[in-house]
Amino acid sequence: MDKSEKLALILSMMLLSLFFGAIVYASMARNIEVPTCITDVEPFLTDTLFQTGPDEYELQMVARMWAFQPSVIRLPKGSTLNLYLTSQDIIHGFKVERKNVNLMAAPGAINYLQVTFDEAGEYKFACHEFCGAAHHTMAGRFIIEDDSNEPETAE
Amino acid sequence: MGSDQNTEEEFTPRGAMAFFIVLLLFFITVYFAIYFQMLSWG
Repeated sequence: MDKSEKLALILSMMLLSLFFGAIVYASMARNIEVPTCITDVEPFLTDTLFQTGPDEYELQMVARMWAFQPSVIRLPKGSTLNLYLTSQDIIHGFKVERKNVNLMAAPGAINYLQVTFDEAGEYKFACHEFCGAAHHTMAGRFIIEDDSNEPETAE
Repeated sequence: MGSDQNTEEEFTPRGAMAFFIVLLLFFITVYFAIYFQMLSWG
């Protein structure tokens, strides 16, 4: 093999190793959650939000053509949300802006991710997997409030 | 004929090597720009 080709190959492999190492560092040292699929629990059919501890909430969210249920979620600032997501019909996507939340909503399975909202404000979320004629309308928002109001959801 | 062969043997693809290095630097910049943005989101 030519010397230049060998050097290019080695440099490329070193770069890929660096990228892979950076991902491993983020998930292990920085404790960043990785989306998990739960297959041994029967998927729920209705949405629920409840408090499981101080500043900790559980949200069971259902995606369907063409809405998230619930689509508006109010939480106090500093809340940690355990998000369980499933779908009633077909595969949908779930992406929250300004957050590392990127899940699939699949019928027959529940996808789980934990997310903490440290800053007050509005975080919009949307379906990012094309799911039919009104896919572009399938969206909602988290409203994170400074004062510690009771959490609530709305359709 | 003989001088042509000598020229070919001495050829070093400097342009291609420079382009490759710039390409790698570009990949590193794009990758880590997105990477640190995602880390800041937590």
